[in-house]
Amino acid sequence: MAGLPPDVDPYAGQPLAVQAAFLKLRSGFLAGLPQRWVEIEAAPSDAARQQALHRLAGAAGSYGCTALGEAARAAEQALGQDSAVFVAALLHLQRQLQSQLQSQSQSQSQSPSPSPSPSPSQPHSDTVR
Amino acid sequence: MSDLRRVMCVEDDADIRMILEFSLGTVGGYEVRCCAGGRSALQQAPEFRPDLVLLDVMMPDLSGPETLAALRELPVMQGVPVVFMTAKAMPDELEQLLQHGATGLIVKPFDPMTLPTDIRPYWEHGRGRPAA
Repeated sequence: MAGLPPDVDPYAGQPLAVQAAFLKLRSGFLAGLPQRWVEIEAAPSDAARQQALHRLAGAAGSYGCTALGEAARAAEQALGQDSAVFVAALLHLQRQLQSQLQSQSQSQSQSPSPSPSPSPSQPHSDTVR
Repeated sequence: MSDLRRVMCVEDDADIRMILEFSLGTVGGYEVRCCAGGRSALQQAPEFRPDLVLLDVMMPDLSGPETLAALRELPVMQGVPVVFMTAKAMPDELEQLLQHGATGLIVKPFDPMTLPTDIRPYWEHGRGRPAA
């Protein structure tokens, strides 16, 4: 089946209660992104890193974060290629991740709820294979 | 005539389990049971008696194909459609997965709005069929 178009709210047009519940779930997913980045960056092996990228690729699109999911998929596919390709893919993923967190932060600043977790750090040299 | 009511989801990623439960339960109105791995699914299937199973392919404890093979050994799972959920999109990989005896494939990411209706054809065409 086809995935979602780029970065959309799949529940737009749905009853308010459904939209609100989805946004709450999405907020939880976004709040977990910094931890996902740590798991990718600090993965003890290529296999563990592939798992982390694979899970992010599968999850992000279903939460309406299509560009982030595609960036994770590209990084997963670049894992077996040379390090320059992989680092470029990882940097692109990091930018997408920061962009999602920034958007979330901006939307939360309009409400009294607490701000999201800090942005992910720069890729460490040990992520470069 | 029986209907599609109970859907079991086997998925190791907690965020995907949550969106599955929301999509199939809140939006679709199905009774949903989410399991974090194959071993948990094997334990819960006899009691839950799913009408259809959505099964992740890459999981750390038991892989999707391993889980499918073990589920097929359970009497309660005879003729129950099992649909793989996979982020793998290469045609040869998809064909390989189907050869494990799955009824069909849903590619991740899925659209949570349409998933409840997307799974129905797999149940309608797959129920009661012997495993491949």
